[in-house]
Amino acid sequence: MATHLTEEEQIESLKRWWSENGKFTVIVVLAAIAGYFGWQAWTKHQVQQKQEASSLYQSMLDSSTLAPGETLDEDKYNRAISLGKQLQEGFSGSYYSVAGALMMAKLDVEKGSLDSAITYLEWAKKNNDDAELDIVIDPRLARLYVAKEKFDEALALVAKAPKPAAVSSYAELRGDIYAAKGDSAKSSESYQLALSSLSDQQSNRRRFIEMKLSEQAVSSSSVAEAE
Amino acid sequence: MLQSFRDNLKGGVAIILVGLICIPFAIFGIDSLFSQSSVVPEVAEVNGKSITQYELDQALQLQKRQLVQQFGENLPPDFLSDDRLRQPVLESLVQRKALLQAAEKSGLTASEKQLNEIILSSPEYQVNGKFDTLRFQQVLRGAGYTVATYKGLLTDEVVLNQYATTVGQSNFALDSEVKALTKLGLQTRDFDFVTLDINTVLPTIEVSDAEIDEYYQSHQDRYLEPESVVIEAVEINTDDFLANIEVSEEALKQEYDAEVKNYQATTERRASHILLDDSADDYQETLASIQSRIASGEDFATLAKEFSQDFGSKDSGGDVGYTSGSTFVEPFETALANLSVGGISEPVESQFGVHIIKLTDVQEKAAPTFDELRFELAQRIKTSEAETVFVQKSELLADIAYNVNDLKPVADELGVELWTSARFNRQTPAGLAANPEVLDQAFDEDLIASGRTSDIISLGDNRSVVIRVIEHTPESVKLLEQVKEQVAESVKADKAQQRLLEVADELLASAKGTSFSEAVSNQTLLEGVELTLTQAREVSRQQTEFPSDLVSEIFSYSKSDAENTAFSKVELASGGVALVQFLEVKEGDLTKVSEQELNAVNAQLAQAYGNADISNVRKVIVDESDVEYR
Repeated sequence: MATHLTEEEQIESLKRWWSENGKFTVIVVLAAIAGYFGWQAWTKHQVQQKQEASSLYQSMLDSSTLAPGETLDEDKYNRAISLGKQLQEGFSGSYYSVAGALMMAKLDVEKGSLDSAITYLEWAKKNNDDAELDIVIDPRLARLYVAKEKFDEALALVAKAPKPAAVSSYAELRGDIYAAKGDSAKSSESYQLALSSLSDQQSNRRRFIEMKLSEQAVSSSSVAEAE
Repeated sequence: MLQSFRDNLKGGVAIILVGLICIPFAIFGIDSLFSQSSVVPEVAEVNGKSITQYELDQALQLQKRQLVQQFGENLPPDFLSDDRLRQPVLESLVQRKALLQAAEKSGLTASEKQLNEIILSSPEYQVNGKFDTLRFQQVLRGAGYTVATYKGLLTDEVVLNQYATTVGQSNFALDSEVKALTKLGLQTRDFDFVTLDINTVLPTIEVSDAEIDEYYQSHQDRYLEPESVVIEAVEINTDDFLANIEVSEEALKQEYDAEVKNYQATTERRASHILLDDSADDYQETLASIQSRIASGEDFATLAKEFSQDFGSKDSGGDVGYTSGSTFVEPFETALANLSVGGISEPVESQFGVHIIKLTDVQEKAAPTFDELRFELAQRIKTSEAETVFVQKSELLADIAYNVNDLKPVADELGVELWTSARFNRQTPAGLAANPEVLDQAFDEDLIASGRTSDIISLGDNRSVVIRVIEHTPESVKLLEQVKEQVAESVKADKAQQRLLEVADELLASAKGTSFSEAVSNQTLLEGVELTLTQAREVSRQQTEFPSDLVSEIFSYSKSDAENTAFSKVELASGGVALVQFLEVKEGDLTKVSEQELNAVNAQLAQAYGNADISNVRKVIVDESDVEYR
């Protein structure tokens, strides 16, 4: 298949090819180059956005982190909240905006403004993309609902743990909610599940749960036997 | 090759192909093709990203340093063994990698500004409280980082920290939760109890041989005789050969001659001096006066006492002891060497001032005599010969003791005693067997099974041992006769406890319809034993007055049990049984708790909630990661 061509023939065939396909080739190459640089610019923009958000969040953390025994003064609180709101507005939907909302909720719980804390957590729930953060946000929101005596809303949030790792925590919280509702039987049952699914790393929580369990009026077996 | 490439390169398609091949080179640079050629072996893979042996080694080193810092040097050495640390360290590396990936996926990162702030404010890189570029680069180089890799690591730290803070530190405790928990913690409970002491029934318990036998049969794991061996050993030791080596007079003479040839006779001179300060105003007059007094025959020691500025020597008449030529400054030594005994020098200048020196004694130190050195030389020759013999015998031992099943001929041929141990288990070795390496070999499965000799075990520079296991008894159950007493005690204790439980049940039954105290004080089941009722009131969870297993049992009862005022029995860990009547729950009184205490509980609870969140999220991430260990 090696039909040998002379130099001139080669140049001739190149020229012919170019006049037929030149325009198209130039367009393809230009498009590829534009695409590449466009992609670069876009990722760079993405990275810059993240870095900017990270800086804002870090400042927020720095201004709300307290030394032991220190209480958050009005200035620090205002600064932290304003940074958190900047994250919500400028970087809505990003991890940092959700993280900022979680911090703001904490600050407001500490100030006693539960309603505002609920608003932040509801915003976080709506804007969160990370499955891992669901098991952080939902229980907190549920606890605030309990404080507001919205038991059914609270139960709905933690009815079932979305991840196996959270089964114990969710069950304990359900136990708390049923206890607050006055449903001792379901509360005991939930605490039992919390105990049986507790991981070794969290065995320090066992005592808490047992304490709460013993508060619920269901006879323990050893006593029932003796009667 | 290029020719055929050119030959085949024709037509538009080919040209476009070449163009396409060119583009990646132009954009990414040729080095991207080679930079991934990592040769470091990989120990694990997390979602397709590898953890290398190098990373593991570094983490292990770090972990060891931290352990040593935490527990000091007296940490048991096997605590720091790679075997023990490898798995947990690798798991934490895997966890870290998985977390970093999750954080990155979530869009966490650190800006250049953040990193710079951290670096600038880190005391490690500061000199006199200010950031120092040189120092920064030094520290980095010392740790084997480039600025880029270091910033990469810092980014990881920032990201992990933000991730943990987001999840953990943002948790909180609600006032209502804090109060409920505090109240629970302060709760106290009332109960009455009697203890049925096991010692009150023990003397009345009889045990039959059949019972003993049955107990022995069903608890054989408690009466084990550990695996034991008897070994024989041949040891060769440099010291054993020393005594048998004769050193000839001729060899000693030769050794002595060689020794003396290298010996240099030395001359030791003893000096006294008077030190004068030549910058003093009256220096010239003092010097003149001293010189004239010396000339008039006055004692040098008296003059030294009167005039010398060398406070270390003036009181001893200027005496500074012996020198072999290098003890004092050079001008001093030169002047001293030129004196004859009793002679006194002209003033000599040195950096200390001006010295007038007197030579008080000269001693020639001659080479030691043959008799003086005899013992030392003989010892030296013997040791060196013994070592030669040791090497020869070691080779011989390795040769004739290789894989044989009797050490007696070996011992005979080497001219040493055959050593035989008493029977021992791993805990009771004596003599040679107590050496850890010997002990290890004595219980080596292969040696036990084959009955053949071990390899040479080297115990330091001049001891070698070969051992053979001559008897081996596997782990076995002790004969009943050996342990009968012990078994009888256990049976007795068991029966006594059983008896107490029966008594407890009967008392519980009889207490129905009457009061607990009445039932207890009227009991006839335990002859001659008076049971006293203890009234435990307002007992908190933390109390230490009553047996802790009893208290935790009481606190495990639910509130309604108190309303039923039920009795129950509790087996105590210390032996014996307690009968309990749970009476009342007393709620904690929050009015007695200060604001400060509540704040402390709040902080604790918030942290506990936060830690649980961190732990859960970590577990989710690791659970959902694809981890492969190599």
